Amino acid sequence: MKGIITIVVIIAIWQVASFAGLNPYVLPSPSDIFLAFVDSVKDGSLLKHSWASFQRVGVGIILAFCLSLPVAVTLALNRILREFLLPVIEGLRPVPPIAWIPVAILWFGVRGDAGSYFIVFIASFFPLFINTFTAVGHIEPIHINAARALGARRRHIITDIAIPSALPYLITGLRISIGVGWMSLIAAEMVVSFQGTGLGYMFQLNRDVNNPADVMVNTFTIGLIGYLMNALIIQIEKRLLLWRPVQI
Amino acid sequence: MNTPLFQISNISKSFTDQRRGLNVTALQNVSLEVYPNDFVSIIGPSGCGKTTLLYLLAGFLKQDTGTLLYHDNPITAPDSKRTVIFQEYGLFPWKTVRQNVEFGLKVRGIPIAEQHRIASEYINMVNLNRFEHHYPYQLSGGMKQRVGIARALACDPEVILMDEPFAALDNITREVLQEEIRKIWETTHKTFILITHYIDEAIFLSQKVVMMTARPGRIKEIVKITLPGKRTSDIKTHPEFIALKNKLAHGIREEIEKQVEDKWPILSKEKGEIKIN
Repeated sequence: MKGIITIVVIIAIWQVASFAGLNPYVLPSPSDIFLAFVDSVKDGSLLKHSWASFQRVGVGIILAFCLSLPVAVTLALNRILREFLLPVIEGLRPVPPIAWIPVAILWFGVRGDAGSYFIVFIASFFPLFINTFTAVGHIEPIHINAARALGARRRHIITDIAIPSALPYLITGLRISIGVGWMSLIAAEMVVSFQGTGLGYMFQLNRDVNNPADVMVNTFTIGLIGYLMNALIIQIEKRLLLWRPVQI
Repeated sequence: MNTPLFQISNISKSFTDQRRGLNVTALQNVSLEVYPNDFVSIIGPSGCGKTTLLYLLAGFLKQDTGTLLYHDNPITAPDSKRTVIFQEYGLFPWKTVRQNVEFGLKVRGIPIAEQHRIASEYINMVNLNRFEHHYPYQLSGGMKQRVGIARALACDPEVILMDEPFAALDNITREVLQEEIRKIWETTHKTFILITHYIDEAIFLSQKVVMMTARPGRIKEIVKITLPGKRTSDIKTHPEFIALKNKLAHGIREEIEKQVEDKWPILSKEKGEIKIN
């Protein structure tokens, strides 16, 4: 709530500064940005580009989740595979996701969405992997013993013990992945046009045609969508993790 | 004559300390019989393999040598017939009190209405009806252990194995729960095996106290507990209770001193100086 007051105050000062003669090519006024926003909503371009980016992040993260989950669980449980594969994963992990953009272009070209999925996949795979891997290692032996002494079979241990105790780590992994995936995607869209859609592409377009108000609309939309995705995950987390003491 | 429920013959178990590459013998040639409806306590100095023995009975671990029979069959895996109450409660933090108590019933495929009825019965029994929808983090230590007790009883075990169940609780709570366990034993006729290092607790609750030696754990002595009258908290000041307590305390002290001698031979030369509480 207090955050909204801060934003309103900043916008007010900004608007006054614009009236007082701030160069609109350096920083367009809030009212111009708002008009540009209304226009881009009206002609549908904002929604089209937002949806394109949102969809890419979604697909990339789902792919990363589907692969990281089995890989992380397997490596956490199997020492031999872990010794063979973990060094490879740890070796690739420090490569910044945007450094994979040239590779994405080489492998998937610049036309379809495949390259964008790949970038989001690469960006979100590692945080998901690390968190799931940690989660499996952190299942308390006492919980497994207690469950077995109450007659639980393997199936119940997976559904009632392993998954719920791994969930906090999975959600943390998901939050980090969405953040990193989103940032990397926007960067990739600025370099590669993919289908000629996406907020990163729109960015470049508006900059090329010298349209500073639209560039700002873009910036804020990217921030807003990122913020909303994070807020959504936090809500899901609250619902799913009622059993944990309240944390700050 | 009764046939024993547990027949433990010449059991040994050792562990390898991975980091230091040491081999530690936790149990050596332990033999013991436990009969149905017994209340047996196992006491001994820290690290004497008490918990190892309990985990073998539960089926969490396997012995290196010797045989371990339950109803004349070797113990190969955990079973809800031999359930466990843990020192750290072992409650599932993501389940409410009720869900914790229902877990053992759920995994057996008991219909939901029946799960509910049985769980309510045991939740009432441990006086937690007002807390059935609470999560473990919202409960005190004593309440958590009551959930542990209700959860164990709900799956109708033959044997309840307790691993220092009240060690993390304050004195008063511990005594209250001891009395409740005694009552449960008297009314349910289940078999109880209790690991503890509180001599009072062992005497108060048991028919037999098994005293173990310092590591490697062997059985030092089995003491039969016969006390006159009902076991209420008053019994703890009875001369016979105190005599038993002194006897057991003396035995345990001997073992602790032996451990000290093994670990710090120089110190033990001035044995008179060492005070062990």
